[in-house]
Amino acid sequence: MTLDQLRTSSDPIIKAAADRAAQLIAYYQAGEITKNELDEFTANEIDLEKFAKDVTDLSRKVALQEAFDILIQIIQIASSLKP
Amino acid sequence: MKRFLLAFAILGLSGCSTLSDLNPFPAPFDPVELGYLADARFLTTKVYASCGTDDTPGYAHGVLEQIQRAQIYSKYIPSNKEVIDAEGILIKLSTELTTRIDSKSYSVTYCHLKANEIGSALDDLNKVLGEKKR
Repeated sequence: MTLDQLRTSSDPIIKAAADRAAQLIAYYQAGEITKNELDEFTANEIDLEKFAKDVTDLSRKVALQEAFDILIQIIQIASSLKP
Repeated sequence: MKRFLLAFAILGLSGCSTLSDLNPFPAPFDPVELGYLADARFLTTKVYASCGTDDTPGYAHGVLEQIQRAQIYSKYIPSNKEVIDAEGILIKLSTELTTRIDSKSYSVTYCHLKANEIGSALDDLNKVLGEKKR
């Protein structure tokens, strides 16, 4: 699953998270945020994954977990590249 | 007497029908808990708009304090662990923002991203709380 596919998700939580990830990567690549700041936001996404799973019903938990795992990996790959 | 009873019955029935139209009554969610978090959501828009100005610290601390108030209130609601945990995460995110703002070591972009992050998490939580039964 790609970032663009996640950004068109019908689940508003996944869509919002994918939009945040795209924004973070764009700002990092443009040099507007530091590597440390990107790492902080990535760690926050891990917290927000737990948050989303806590507040939603059981049927959405698996989809949320998969989507957040992909998003976090995408941000981590982007952060390993120099801006 | 019969006429009086008939009129009384008609009035009573129409009264019940009127009450049932007040939908939903009482509100199915806890309005105080949602109110605190809705105020915090409003303040995140003020943080975003004020990033980089002298107003930012006041608004950012306002967001943090409002979520802290919500969490204290939430602790008194039975079977509410998920919401209390979610508010804990929001407090962590808000504290990261206020710490950076207080140390005056933040960029406008960082402030915008953080305000968006807190705001979208509050949107998610408020939607869930709005549908939650008391």
